[in-house]
Amino acid sequence: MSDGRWGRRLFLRSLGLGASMLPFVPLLEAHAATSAPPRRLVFFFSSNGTIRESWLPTMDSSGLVLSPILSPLEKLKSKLLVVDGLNHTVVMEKGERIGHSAGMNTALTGRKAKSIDPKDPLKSLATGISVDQYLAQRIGKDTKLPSLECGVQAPLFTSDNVALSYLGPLRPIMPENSPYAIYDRIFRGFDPSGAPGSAQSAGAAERLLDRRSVLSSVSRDLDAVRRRLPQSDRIKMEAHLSAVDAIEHSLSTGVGSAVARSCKQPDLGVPLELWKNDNIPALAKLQMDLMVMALACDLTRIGTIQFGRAGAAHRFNWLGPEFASDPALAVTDAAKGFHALAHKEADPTSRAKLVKINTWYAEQLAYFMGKLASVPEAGGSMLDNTLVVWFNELGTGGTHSHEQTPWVLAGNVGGRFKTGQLASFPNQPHNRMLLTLCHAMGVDDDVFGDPDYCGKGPLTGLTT
Amino acid sequence: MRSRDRAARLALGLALVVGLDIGVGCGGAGAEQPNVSGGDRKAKDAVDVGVAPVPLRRLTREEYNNTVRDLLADTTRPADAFPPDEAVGGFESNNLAPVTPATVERYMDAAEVLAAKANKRLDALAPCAEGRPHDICAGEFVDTFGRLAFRRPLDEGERSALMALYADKAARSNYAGGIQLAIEAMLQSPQFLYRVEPAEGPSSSTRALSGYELATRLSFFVWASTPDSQLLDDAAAGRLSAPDGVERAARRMLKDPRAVDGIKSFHRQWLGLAQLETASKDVALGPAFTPELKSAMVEETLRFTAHAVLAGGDTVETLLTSSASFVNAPLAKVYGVPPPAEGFAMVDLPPGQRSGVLTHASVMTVLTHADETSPILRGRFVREKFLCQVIPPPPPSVNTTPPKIDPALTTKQRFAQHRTDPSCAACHQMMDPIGFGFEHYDAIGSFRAVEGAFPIDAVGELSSTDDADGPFDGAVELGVRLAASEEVRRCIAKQWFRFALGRSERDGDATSVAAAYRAFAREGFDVRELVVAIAKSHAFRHARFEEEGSAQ
Repeated sequence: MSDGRWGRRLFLRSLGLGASMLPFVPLLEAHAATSAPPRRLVFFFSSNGTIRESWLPTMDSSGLVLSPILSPLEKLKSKLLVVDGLNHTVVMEKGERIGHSAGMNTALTGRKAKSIDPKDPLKSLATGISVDQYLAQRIGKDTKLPSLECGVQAPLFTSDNVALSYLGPLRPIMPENSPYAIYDRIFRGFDPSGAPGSAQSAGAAERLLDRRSVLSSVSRDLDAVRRRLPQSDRIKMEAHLSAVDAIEHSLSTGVGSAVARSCKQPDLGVPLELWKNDNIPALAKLQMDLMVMALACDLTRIGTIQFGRAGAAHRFNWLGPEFASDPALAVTDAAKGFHALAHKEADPTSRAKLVKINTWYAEQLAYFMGKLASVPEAGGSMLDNTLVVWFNELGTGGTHSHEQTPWVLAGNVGGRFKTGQLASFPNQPHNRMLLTLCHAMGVDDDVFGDPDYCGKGPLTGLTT
Repeated sequence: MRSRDRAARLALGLALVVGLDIGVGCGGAGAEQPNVSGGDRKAKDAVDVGVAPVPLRRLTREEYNNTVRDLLADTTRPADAFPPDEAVGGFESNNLAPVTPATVERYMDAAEVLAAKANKRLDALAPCAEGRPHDICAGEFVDTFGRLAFRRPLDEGERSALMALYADKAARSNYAGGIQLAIEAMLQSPQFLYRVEPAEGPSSSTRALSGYELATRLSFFVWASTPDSQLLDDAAAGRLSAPDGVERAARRMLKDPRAVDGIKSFHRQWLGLAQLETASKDVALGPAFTPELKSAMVEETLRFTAHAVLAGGDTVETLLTSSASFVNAPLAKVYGVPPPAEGFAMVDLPPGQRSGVLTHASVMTVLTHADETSPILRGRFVREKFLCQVIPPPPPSVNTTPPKIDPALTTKQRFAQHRTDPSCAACHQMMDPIGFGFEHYDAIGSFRAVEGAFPIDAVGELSSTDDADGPFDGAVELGVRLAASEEVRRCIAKQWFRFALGRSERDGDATSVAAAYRAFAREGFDVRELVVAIAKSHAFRHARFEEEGSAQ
């Protein structure tokens, strides 16, 4: 399952195909100086719940006192806003299923999941648009890609438990696990030396028209085929349709407005095998580097970095000998690995390992925040204008609890969030968090997801 | 009893592949027994309905490349730029994971490039004689090309949509531009990219495939490519509606040069040769292991297996025991034979050293670590590929780093812990003793008489088989033993069945698999007869849909 060298090679080839590509040219710093930095939002997902007593920080007079799990973020704690107490209330009260999959499907949609296979209770899909896609449709129009979904060994070659992002009911966008494909997608047709104003030519306008008519013909066919397939195969057409929609959106979007000087294509190094368990840390780093560059080049403003999936069975061999096991089969065996461990959280040895795993995710967040902080922007850094939202499909993995789900907001959007604190909202529906994020991005809606759980509006006290 | 255990292990392996939550174990002292539903053989026969579902398959990269070669005479292999295929049960099928936007963008790129190239050779593809109305010519093109691309005649809705696309573009540019855009759309249509077999009838129903669906299954099975016009004609005329018609079609296809693609595709996947292309052990193996040598190794095995099948006779015997193979100059060095005058030639390898694909440099190289041989990988290879038994992964608590290389010990001695530690022995007794039989072949498959200061000890042992148990000395003896085993021959038939259906066999397939094996055996184990028998089988000619929801 190794990926090989096709990514960059194809990128180079795509440059050679300039005529058939819509020229993509970033506007340069001249523009950036005259406008406020864009607001950006990145969702950062890890799975299987947390160990709350090792996750929950405290406050003292000097601010946040970090927990063991959050300790890797010590130097960045003034940029953190830890939100405790939120429940996936919609799943608890209305859900047909309450397992990992339900959490995955409700986390960003604020709606209950729908079971799609009566014989397999684990298979469910979301019943509404996810907040990242909703915002991408509203604020993603100015960038090449309305949104970017990166996976780190995310799908398990199955169609459920996989996607966080939905374009609508039962319409997942599959996360891309190959950094080489992501590289290609971001930088395809990208010309870092391009001058402003050269973006559109008559040929390009004609090509745009062609592509639109071809894609709408493809969409019609996808819909026709979808109707004729058995239920279990329909999701393949749904995901394909989502992908076509995403491409269609990106055909006509603008070319960005605030390209940082740091915008450059990263070197991906030696190609890595995509499904080798022990490559996870290296793959994660590549995906995070690429996400930072996609933001720095203003090719997108909404992103998702998805570590595994709900119920991920990865093995964290790199965390010590007690984690070591067969890498080849690790990601295909739900009876083992991280997921099985999460079900043994009552056992002290397993619990210690779970803390270590969650701490590793905090290290990844610290790395990502550090990269954002290294990109200067408007007198500060890109971290000042990028909100990273670390979340989970469950509160506690072992009991499949949807209570007290762990949310960490990191970074900021133009000083809007009051960071450096712990905020508690016991038993409040997480829809209010999703609404908070909408407001932060300038979309002042009254409801997001199931309207029954939005009564009190955005969470109070988080923003200035 | 033993054979039922293995069936259980096999089922278990499949379950692992799809990530089900069930217990695993190898049997033997102290080990947990596999916990698999399905009951005994009788119960399985009782639920055998003759066919199990085949999930929707998306063209693999190889199938896409071959298809555009046959449709558009394009040999640039555009799908090599697509993300990797997903393999289930060892064979690429793309039948589980939905696509990502990045993949769909690649489809768009490839379609645009292919259509632009087609535009340049329109005289061949969509000729339009002077004076004929362009719309008429375009309609003919959409009908003929559409039938080949969608692998069935277009329905009225599809035809009119494509004609509208053509007409709109032709009005903005010209005839050629309109045709180009229609090609672009067809190459991105799900009807082209997927092998669509619609659900029809009530839930949990089995239906015979239509002629066109069967033509599609046949061509991707036998040719690894799209049906030709004649096969679609067979479908249209109803000639594929009965087994004897399918047999005639399959026999014609096996005589076509494209059959070599299908045979090579099977062996490339079955023997795991793709892993060789991405093997990253160059440094450890030194300058001898060049990219040229790597691709020569793959080429050798593909040429050899195609030869083994097309030469007729007992294919299994040839595959497992031949002492001849195809070599070029770099490979000649590995095998210690004089290089051929040019390119590849079939030569006799040094006597007593080689045993068909078992000892090919490609296979031996894939089944090693960077710097040493791996009896485990080699033993597991025989167990899984030739006996169709599945070894579960080690328990999570086990350290799987191979023992350190120690010049004072042989490889065989270093792996001794596997036999002495009972927690290892249950599974490793299934692998290591077979793997030791390959100790004569180093990390790139060269024959060696000594390892460091020690003479090679290649005594191995087969166990837990129906009819091949016992000690053997070296891979040549192993090859003879395996070739004489009915269990091995049944396994090879199963592997072809998995390749044909793009998934592993399930309970419902038992009758079809058994019938295919009987025909294989009756015809002296000529693989071409096996291919014909699988094509005629009930499972291959029917579709089954297990759950059905209302259309949305």
